[in-house]
Amino acid sequence: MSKSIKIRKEKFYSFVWIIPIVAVCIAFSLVYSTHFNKGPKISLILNSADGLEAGKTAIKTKSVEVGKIVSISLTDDLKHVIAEAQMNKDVAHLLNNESKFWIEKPRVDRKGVSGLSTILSGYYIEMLPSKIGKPEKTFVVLDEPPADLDSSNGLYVSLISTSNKKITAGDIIRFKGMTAGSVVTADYDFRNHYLVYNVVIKPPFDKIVTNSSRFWISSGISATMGAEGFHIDTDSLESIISGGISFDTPDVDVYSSSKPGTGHRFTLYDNFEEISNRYDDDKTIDFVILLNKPPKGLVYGSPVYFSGVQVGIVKKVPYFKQGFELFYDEVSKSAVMISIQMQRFEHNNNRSVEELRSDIVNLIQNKNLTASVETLNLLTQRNMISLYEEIPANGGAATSRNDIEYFDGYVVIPSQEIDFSGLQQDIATFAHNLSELKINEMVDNVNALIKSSTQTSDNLAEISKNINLIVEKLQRDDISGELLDTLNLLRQTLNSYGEDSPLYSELHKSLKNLNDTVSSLKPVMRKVDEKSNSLVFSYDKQDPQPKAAK
Amino acid sequence: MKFNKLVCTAAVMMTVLSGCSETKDIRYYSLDSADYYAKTGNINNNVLFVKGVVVPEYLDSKSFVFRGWGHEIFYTNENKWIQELSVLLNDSLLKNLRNRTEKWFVTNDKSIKNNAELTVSINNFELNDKSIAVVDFDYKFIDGNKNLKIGTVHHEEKMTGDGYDAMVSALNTAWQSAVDEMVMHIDN
Repeated sequence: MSKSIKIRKEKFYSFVWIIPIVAVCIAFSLVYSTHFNKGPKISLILNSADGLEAGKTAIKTKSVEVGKIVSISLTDDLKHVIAEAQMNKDVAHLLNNESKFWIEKPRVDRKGVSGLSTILSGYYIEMLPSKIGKPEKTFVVLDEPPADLDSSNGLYVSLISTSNKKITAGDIIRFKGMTAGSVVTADYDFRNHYLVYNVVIKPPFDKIVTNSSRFWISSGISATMGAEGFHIDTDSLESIISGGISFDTPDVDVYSSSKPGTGHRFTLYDNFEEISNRYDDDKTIDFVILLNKPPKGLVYGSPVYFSGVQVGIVKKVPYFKQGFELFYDEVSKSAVMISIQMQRFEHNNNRSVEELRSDIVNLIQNKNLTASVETLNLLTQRNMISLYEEIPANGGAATSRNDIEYFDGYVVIPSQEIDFSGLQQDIATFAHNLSELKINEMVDNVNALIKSSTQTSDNLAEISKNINLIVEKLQRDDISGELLDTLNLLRQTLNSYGEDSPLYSELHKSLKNLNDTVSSLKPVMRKVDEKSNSLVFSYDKQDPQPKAAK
Repeated sequence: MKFNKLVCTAAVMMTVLSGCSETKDIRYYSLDSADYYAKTGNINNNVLFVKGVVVPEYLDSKSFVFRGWGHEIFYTNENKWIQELSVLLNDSLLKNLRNRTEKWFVTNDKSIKNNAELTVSINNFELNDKSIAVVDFDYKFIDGNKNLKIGTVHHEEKMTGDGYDAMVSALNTAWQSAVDEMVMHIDN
């Protein structure tokens, strides 16, 4: 029995090899995508690597991860830390010399509390990307977030201050209590001996700033002891805690005044009062008042009134002539310089200061304009200057003064000395009226009043007694009839809530409407449940076709 | 038998692998901006530095943005700008300014010493629900004497036909007109 052997020639290749080939292709594509889709590597220079970890610490922009720290090492001089970071490919074009980096960590400062989320997630490096600038690979990481994160918008101006109050970069600038900008830098000008703050006013507040705008330091609480007494002013709680700078623009100037350019310099006033008492020098006229006695209770800023309206302030007290020497020159009269501020009462911009000066000279000559020192505040012993037209006792026309007196080149307003500033007279009048009071008659009247009230009290007791009697009577009598009436009324009320009543019908209708509304909301709610942001974004795969308007 | 199994396995794998990838035809669009001609001469005077075009975050992507009824916003997937809108507008603004203004040497290079500065902030650059292309932006121009000129330009253009070509054309026309108006203001 023969056994045949079939010899089969072995194939050169086998289909089994397809599997490793496919695996190699997949591996190759993975290596390709990993290697070639990498973004640039950058170096970050830090003062300390506190809280940073190679391979873990992320670089983020608006909470989106755009890179990761891959290694941390010390610089050769051991003064700094260099962190190498692998950035994503899609942010490569945002890395340039305008880009900024800083460590995001929990902070409590005058801007508030920030970065609390990093307590759980760990520190990360925040990047402020920039589309404009030269490509850059090495960046210095800032210790603090940049004072102005959005540097492209807003009006940049400088504030000049000689105040001792401290303002630092990052402080808030407020307009009527609202955050309108921030201090970008704070420097001292050693040549001119003043502080220069570069600030940014953000839109839309930058449109409010005009050349007439005024800036002042809002320290939160201000207490002043002025001619008008003790005055305390508090800002908002936020300002009290954080301080900062405030600004405002006169309403009439918002549209009419010219707008300041970038870098325009404004004066930073120490407080709001400094502005409110400040009037343009070219709109004020100075006069002198000569007094026989040294003026007491008058200080710089003491008000000057004319017919009950404040028209100016005391500017210099006492006022000495040019070249006057106190211990050598004879002092015959004490001079006080007052400043009449046109803007306090003149709203006609066409009138010149000279016209106002001639008006006042005319009043001195023809209306006997006279000045006197009067009491402003009894408690603080402060006085004021009062200007008035002297009316002759007989009611006739005032005698005219032809000669105008000058003191050191200033027109003198004649003064009238009022002893004790009129206070004594007031006290005397008060004492006289007090003595005129008929005390005995008043005592008799009071006695009569007490007697009358006693009688009223007796009458009330009588009425109370009668009421008690009525109540007792009611308790004795049969009141079932009244009870029946009440029950009938109650039944009628309950019937109004019955099935056929209009109220029931309205209620039923409202419930039906509510049911319909809830039913129509069901599909929407289902969609929102599936995709929470589907109300805002569309997930249709097909792009909508733009159609021309018909 | 072995052969059949291998063929079946390979077929299944190919099907699975092919299912993982998605092919989608995307059409890309660009804003028309004519080539500019270079200027010669002394550029020490009248250098205008274009600081940039600031585009709202929701518009600054490659997708076209449509506003539907109510709050709905469509982002297109199959039709897109060739670059992010801010990049497109930056390039277009530079080229347009170079062609339109005789007075200035226009640059976006910060290292060149400049006399004037221009910033443009886009408020609107999209097709509204009435099929009208709306372009609206604020600009801030600071000249050599540090004088500030600010203004808002608003232009609308109706679509002349259906489709994305017509829409891009309408947006481009509105954009060119708006830039023209701004140039007239800053040149005076």
